[in-house]
Amino acid sequence: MKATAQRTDRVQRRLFLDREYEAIKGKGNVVFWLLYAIILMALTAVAIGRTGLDHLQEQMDDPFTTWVDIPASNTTVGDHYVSLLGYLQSCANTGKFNARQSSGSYSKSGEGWVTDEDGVRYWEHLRYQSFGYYADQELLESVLGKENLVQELIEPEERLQAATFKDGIIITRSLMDELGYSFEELKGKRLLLRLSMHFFPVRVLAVVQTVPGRRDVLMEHGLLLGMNDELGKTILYASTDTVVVLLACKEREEAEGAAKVIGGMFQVPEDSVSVAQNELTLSHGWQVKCKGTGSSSLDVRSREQGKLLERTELRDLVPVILNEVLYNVPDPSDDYGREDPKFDNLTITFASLDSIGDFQRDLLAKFKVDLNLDRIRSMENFSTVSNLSKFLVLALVLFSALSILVFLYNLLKNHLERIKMNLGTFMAFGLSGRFLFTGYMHIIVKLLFRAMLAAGLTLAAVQLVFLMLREAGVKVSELLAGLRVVDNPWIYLTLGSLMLASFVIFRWQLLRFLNNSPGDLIHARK
Amino acid sequence: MEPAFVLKDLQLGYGGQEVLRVDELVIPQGQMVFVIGKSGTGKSTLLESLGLMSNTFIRTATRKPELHIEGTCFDPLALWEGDQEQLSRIRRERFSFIFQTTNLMPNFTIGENIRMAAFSAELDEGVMQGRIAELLEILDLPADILDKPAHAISGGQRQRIAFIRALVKQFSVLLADEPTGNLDPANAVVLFQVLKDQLQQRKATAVIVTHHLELAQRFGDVVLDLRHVHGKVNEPAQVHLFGVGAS
Repeated sequence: MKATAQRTDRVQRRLFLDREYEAIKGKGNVVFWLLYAIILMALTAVAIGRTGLDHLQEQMDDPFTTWVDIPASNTTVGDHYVSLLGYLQSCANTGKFNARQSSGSYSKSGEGWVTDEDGVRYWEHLRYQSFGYYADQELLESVLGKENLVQELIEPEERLQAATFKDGIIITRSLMDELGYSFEELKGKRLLLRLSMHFFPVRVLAVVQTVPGRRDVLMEHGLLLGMNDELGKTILYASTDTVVVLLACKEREEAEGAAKVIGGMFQVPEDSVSVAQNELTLSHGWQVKCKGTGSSSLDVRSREQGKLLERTELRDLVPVILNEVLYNVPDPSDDYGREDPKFDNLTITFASLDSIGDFQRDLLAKFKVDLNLDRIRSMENFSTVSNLSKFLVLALVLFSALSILVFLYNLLKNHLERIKMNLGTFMAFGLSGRFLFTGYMHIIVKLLFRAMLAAGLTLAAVQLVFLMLREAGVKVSELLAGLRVVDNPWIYLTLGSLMLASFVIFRWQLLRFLNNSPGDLIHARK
Repeated sequence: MEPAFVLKDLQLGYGGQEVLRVDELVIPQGQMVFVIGKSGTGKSTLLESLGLMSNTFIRTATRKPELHIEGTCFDPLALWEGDQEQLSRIRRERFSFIFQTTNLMPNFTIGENIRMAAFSAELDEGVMQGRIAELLEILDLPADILDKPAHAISGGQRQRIAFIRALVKQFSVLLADEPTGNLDPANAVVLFQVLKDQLQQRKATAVIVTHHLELAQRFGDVVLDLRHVHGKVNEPAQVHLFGVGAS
């Protein structure tokens, strides 16, 4: 008897749900397609809004946007350097003007140096920017953050080690493209950098989209100062007792001939000079190692470098002394910028740019330092547009949810109103309010879920098409190309809120309707 | 045998406005009871109260209302204030209905309309199909009418389908409100004859509201005449005739 009851209940339920679902979704699925169109438009608006917001957010998170450089040369800040440094530090410590962190950096220009089969190539005016491993951890995280990182060339755990930055640098993608090397080549060998007459083979730790200050290369304060011989800590490559000279030649015989000249120059016995293929740097060529030269300062090595280049028999081989950084790693006790050498730029970062204008005015009043207003205004605009976008996206989410709910509410209301006499009759025959409640909730949720799924899949397909077009090299609007659906939490938030709000509203609507007795429904009593 | 209904001390109406007062009314089991009276005397109200279709019971300080359904005593006010599932269950297990407006679901076929009502009473599929076929034959309706949508049949056919829908279901009391209101007298007689035969076969009770005194006198075992007290139409009506054998 119980089994029969359960079976009849199932059959009755199936029959009722099927017929009513057909009726509610309309002839030719018109209601379904209308709902699909509304949801699709709403999700598209949310996705585009969110993509735009993400784009702005990336700009906000970009070190260039929240990072303000204040040139610290004497002509700009005069005698105020120390007090300006203290002022910025105080802003960062107290959060005044939403300041988050203050620091400073050194800027130098140098060259990238590569020898290949076509001879020596070098890039003049490479712009180096420094950071403090301990003082600028937040900046380092931003630079190596997901949005900015193109390729990391070290193991993840190495990023956390100070020693990694002893002779490691971060370069921009555009520099890598200019150099013409692949990630694998950059990972396996060192890049030769030149500053004044000093050459340093350095490890490329990561390739990023941009580095602060729109520079080409980012490196630790110690490395940049060391390369410029401002620390007195940098000495010859390989060991304190060995000079390594890189030669741009193809044949061993040429290298061996040059080795005799170089050995003579450094006054070391012939058996202390060895020749080997260059495996260290990206450059093709040969290395000449001279042992027993004794240690020398970078300044001395610089003079020796000059002499090597002056030797007529070596000039065509472009001999380069490879210097090595031997100081112990970035040291937390290093207090860069406070004493000489002073920072070339003082920097301050902001948690939000809402008060950047106030900061600019305060800086001008206190230190007569006038920041670039265009840049400040663009920062303020970023802030305004970003806040506006957040509001608009949220408004879109609410508006779309509301419009869908109103549509469905009226749909169900009209449907129930139209058949309330019939439903009252079924209830008189014993169909329970619970049956009708769960039945209509099921129908509405099913309709909504299917329309949401179809709209979501359509949008995901659109995203895929744009991605494929971009991959194929077709020029697509940045906003559309960056359209995020599958990994866009706002889409899920919208759909989730819609489902939740639907549940609450339709539950209320149905309970209110079913609060009528069968007699009230049949006789259309209010 | 327990009466189908015993009503005691009831005031019935809508929104606190009294329409009908019942001091005591007994509706015997297995009888065809007709309720007659002028418009506004509370015939339909009485039917709705018996069929638990609306909460028409008015609470008063002085009365202690009782509603006995086939021997089970209920406090009707408590019944309506309690679990609505219990009301559904009583309706499902004991009652069946015929309404003047047949109220067939427009998007269901005729067969599905009948099934939905019959399913409510958890009727075995085979038994149900047998009953439907039998009743279609008795009422001279083609078998393929079951597959037609409700809007595709005539008014007379709809009324007969409403009879079938009511009779296929398992019940012990049939409540009908002007069940032949839309039919000509000849067809009404045929339907009432079928109804009487079916009720006798099942030993079931029927309470039927009608304006047709002739039909009531011809087919009724009991006729209840609802009249206004002292003929004043603004006063609540009272049950005037009650008990077995009244005519």
